[in-house]
Amino acid sequence: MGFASPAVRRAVAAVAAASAAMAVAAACTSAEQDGADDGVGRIVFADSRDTTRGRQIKRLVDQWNDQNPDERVEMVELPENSDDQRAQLVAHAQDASADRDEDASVGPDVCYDVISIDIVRTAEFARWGYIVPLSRREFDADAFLPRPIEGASYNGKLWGIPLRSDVGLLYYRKDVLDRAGARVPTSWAELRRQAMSIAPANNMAGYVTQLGAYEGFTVNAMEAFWDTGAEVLGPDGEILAEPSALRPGISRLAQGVAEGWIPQEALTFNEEGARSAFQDGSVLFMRNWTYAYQVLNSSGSRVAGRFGVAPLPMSSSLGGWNLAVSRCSRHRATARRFIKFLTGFESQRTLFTQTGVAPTRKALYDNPQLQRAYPHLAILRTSIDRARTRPVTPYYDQVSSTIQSRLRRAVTDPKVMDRELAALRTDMLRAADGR
Amino acid sequence: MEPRHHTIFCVDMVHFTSQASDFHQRVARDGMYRALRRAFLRALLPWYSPWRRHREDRGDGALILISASVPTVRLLKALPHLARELAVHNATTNVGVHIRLRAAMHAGEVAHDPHGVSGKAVNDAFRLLDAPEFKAEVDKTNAPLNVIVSESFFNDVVKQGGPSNHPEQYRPLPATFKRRGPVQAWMRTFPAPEPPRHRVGVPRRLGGIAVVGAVALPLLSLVPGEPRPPFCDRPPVQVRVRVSPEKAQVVQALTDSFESGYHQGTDGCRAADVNVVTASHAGGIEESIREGWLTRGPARATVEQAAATTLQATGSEVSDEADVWLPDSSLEIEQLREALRAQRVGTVTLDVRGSVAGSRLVVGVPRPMAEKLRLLDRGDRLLTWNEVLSWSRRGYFFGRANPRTSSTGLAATAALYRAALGRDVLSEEALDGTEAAKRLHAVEQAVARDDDEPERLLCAVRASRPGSDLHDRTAVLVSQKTLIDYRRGDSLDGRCPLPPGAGQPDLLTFAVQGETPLFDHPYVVINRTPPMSPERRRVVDDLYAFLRGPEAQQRLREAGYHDVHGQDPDPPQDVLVTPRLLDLAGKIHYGPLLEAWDRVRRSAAVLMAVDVSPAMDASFPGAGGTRLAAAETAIRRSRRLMGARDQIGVWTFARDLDGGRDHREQVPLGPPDPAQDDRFAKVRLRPGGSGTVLYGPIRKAVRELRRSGGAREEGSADEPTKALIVIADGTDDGGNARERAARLRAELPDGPPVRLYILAFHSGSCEDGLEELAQAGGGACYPIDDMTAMRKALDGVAAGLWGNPP
Repeated sequence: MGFASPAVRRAVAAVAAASAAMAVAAACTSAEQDGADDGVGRIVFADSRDTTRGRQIKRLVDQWNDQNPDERVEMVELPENSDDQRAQLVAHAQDASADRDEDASVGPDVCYDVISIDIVRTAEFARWGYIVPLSRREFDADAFLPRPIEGASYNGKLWGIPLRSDVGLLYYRKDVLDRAGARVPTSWAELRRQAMSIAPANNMAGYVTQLGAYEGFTVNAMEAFWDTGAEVLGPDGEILAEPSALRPGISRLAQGVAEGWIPQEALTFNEEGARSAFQDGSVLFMRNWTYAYQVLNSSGSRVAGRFGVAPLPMSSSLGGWNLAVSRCSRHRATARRFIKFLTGFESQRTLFTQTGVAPTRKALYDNPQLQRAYPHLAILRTSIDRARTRPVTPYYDQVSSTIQSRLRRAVTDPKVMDRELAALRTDMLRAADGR
Repeated sequence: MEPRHHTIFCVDMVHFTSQASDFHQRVARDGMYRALRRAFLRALLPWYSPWRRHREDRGDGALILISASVPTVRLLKALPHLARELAVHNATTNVGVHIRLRAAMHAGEVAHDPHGVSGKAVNDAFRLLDAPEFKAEVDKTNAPLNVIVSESFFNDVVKQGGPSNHPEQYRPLPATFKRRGPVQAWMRTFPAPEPPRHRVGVPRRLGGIAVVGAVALPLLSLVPGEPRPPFCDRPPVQVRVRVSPEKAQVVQALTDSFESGYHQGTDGCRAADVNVVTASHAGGIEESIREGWLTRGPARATVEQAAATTLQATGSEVSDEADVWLPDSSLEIEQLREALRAQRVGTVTLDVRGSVAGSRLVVGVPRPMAEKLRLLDRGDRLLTWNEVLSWSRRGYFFGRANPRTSSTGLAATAALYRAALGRDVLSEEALDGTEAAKRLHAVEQAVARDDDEPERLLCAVRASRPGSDLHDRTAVLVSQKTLIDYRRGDSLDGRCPLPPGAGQPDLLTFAVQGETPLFDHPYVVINRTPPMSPERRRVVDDLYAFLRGPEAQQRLREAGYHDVHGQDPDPPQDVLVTPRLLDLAGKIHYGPLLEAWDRVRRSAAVLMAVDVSPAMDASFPGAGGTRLAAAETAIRRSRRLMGARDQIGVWTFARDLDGGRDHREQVPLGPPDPAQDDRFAKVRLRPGGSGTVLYGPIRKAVRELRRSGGAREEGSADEPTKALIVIADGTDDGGNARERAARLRAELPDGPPVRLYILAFHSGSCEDGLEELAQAGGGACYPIDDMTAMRKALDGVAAGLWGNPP
């Protein structure tokens, strides 16, 4: 198109866009969306709040925009809290769908073309048609770590590309353990022993983790269940939450609180609460996600250089965020290309080195430079490969709420444990059925 | 038993046994049965009633016989439903438990005996099912359901029934039976239908409901006892609620209750998902506009304009949109509307439905303070605002939340200011002027804390040490609900638990007679462009009705609120007499009020430097007769302007006043505590020194202020305004006066700001350079020729420190 004047080019582009839009509209009012798959143009990208140092995500977006002026990305930041973020995405997806049915133009304020979703939401978003499946071949799924790809899959289809992966790690005070001549615990029993002996001897609390009334509690509960051989839902949503199976897992948390080596404050902690306590130097062990590593090692941290990181002495939950394409998107080709850019090797390298969050491409873990610079990279990889996925169900939100509301009570007041476990099963039957 | 005619339907799962575990098998079987059951019920085929059908399990398959009394064509009608149920199962499960089904249909005589069923017809059905040709055809497709029917069934049932049975979809399939040779059979493949498109709420075509209804009703008559609801085919409608911290806990509990009881349609599926966000207003209403809970990104006038601008990666504020807002009071709505108008945001309107609860502003007084003030001698618990204000003059303090971030803080501030100024409406004009500045400064000096939220304030009270001001001498102005929570030992905002066995100061509840500000807890619907869907609007309407309903209202009363009919909280509280309630709506100009609050609460560090040279001994029209006497009066008046958080000091100066030095410190810069008052009382101004001097002492005093006079509390953001008040003859009889003046003038702006106010007795001094000097220091020069001029000068200083800049 180099020969035409800018005005003509714009006019031609406008006509092309209009006919493409009409074609898309025509295709969409009938059945599904063949035409929309090739749409190119401006898109909106909704991510959770960019708390990375130096706003790395925004920088990558700016980089894309410089290189792709006709396919600009507008970035919207959603709340940090996973539940609040989900509510925003779902509301917008529902609004976009409602508009679509009426064949009205979905304004840019409604449709988020590319969204970043917590992996536990894959089933929900896939089931209700908020997002569209992606081609494994097109996105070279094999280049990514297998567990995160599984976490983005549902019903044999791929629904998102992992942007960040995450896993629980055991943070421990290396200086204190060395002094005590102890090695890093590799089982819950060992952790408990050390928390009950070494911690008080050093005037420290034993173990902190996220037991507040939110998803963090579900993560911890699931990790305890897996380690005691229990599971909550089967692969198709079948309820396996038998009280007898779950009791050992939840009891160990209750026991830790009752014995005092899990401090009462932990029952209000989220990730930052636990990290803050550990960073103050008053805790021996902490379960937290990968992000904490860099923060704890930053200048000004009391524990910088004095802590170590190891795999959890029990199964870890798989965390992470996937990039998905919304069904309402009219510019899906751009959306897909943008996703490839954001999850490309260079972008992932930048994100990892700047923010410490685990990358999802195998190549980064195999890179000798990075291995040298970040010795804990191998631990990350192993932990991710062994991580377990939380229950896969379109009603995950409700299932998790049920676990939180019933079992937090059991942890704080063991006398009600049997009652709450029984109630959990009843609640779960309704929740997993969407009722 | 005699053989009877039956329709025979048998199924088998394809290639199932190669899958792994028992667990997978069990799950897949459950799925198969669920699909069969649903398809049968949909087609009005008997499932539960054993006298019309016979079911047998066959490991990876099943056999179902349907008695002749049931029209066979219904089985054909069930097939597409079955295919769809299987497809849904496959769409919502992992590959390991996907189901593909082979099915065979036949009809004939079947005998029942104690061992089960038998007969040639049953055997033939199974031979069809297992025919190798059929299996081969099935292997070629991915379809969830493939059906084979016998020739007789095809002719008698499928073709006979006409086009609605779709006989053209069947293709002939020669099958080989063991020991019998080839037979003619017919096969049909049911591919996976389109996955159900998400539809929110009631299906648009009313026929949808009609179908469900039509199936449900006959089912109830056919199958007594167990109408199984169909699976949930649409997600719950998402609604986003933003609530003030005070109500957050009870609102979360109420929305949970709403969600679990709220179902639309007959299928029992959840119809609403309410997400509640607690709006802690650090920053206040203006921040809300910039934050994304009203609109996404920077405020946009119209959607078209938004689309027209070049979209950039704005990295805008977090977008946390809300559909429903539950503030503490309509004051916040007024404030927000004012701000929206000022910023010309046209895409958002607020639709106020009505109250969901009520509370009032009360005064919580520590018991020792109530006793000392003899407040308990009276029968009721009513006070007046003037009385409350008088406490500040008696050495007591107030606590209230920051008016910028808290509704109750705003109401408390407005109430105090109205009383202090004696004005009904706090307009810009009412808040302006020196008198207002002085009075409001005095009020703010008595305010001990400015926590973002009342819960934080009460948490500090709870943790205060006995004997401290906060524990024994601070009255808190908070909502009745928050005080109820405090007295109950509640953890307030969730972060302030009262450890068992621990105590807390006993705060007694008082209300203000005549004018108690009320909090009406409105339910506000946020309307945006484009508007919310009808489905969401319905849920929003229903949620409002729920919150005003008896269950929710009772729980709100238990949480410490009045209900919408004005009934007291449950259990009832101390303040039994209902004071006259005051609606502050319309009486506050928010911008001017908050701006006034910012400036009148600034603390000041004031150094008074008094010229005591012989020139000051000159006569002066006023009490005491001399300039020095007038200066003493000025000092005492200035002292009265200062509040608990200010600082004041006194120097005297004259040439060679103090053995070679030109100045003497009479009272060191410090807060007006009893010790300081004592020092003040002892100040006597006696003439001294050998002549006048000015610039040297000013320079030194400015340096002193810059050195000390910083914020009183470490880490306090409250950096005081520093001021130097010079009361002097106004001349300097040293040499090179002009050069020294010029040098001082150049030096003054060079460092942290110190305001310079010069009260000059010598006529013409101000015009003769002192005005310039004072202005260089951000102050002013006042010629003093009588006491009126003195008073005006001090007013000018007060206005300069706490009033609106001219």
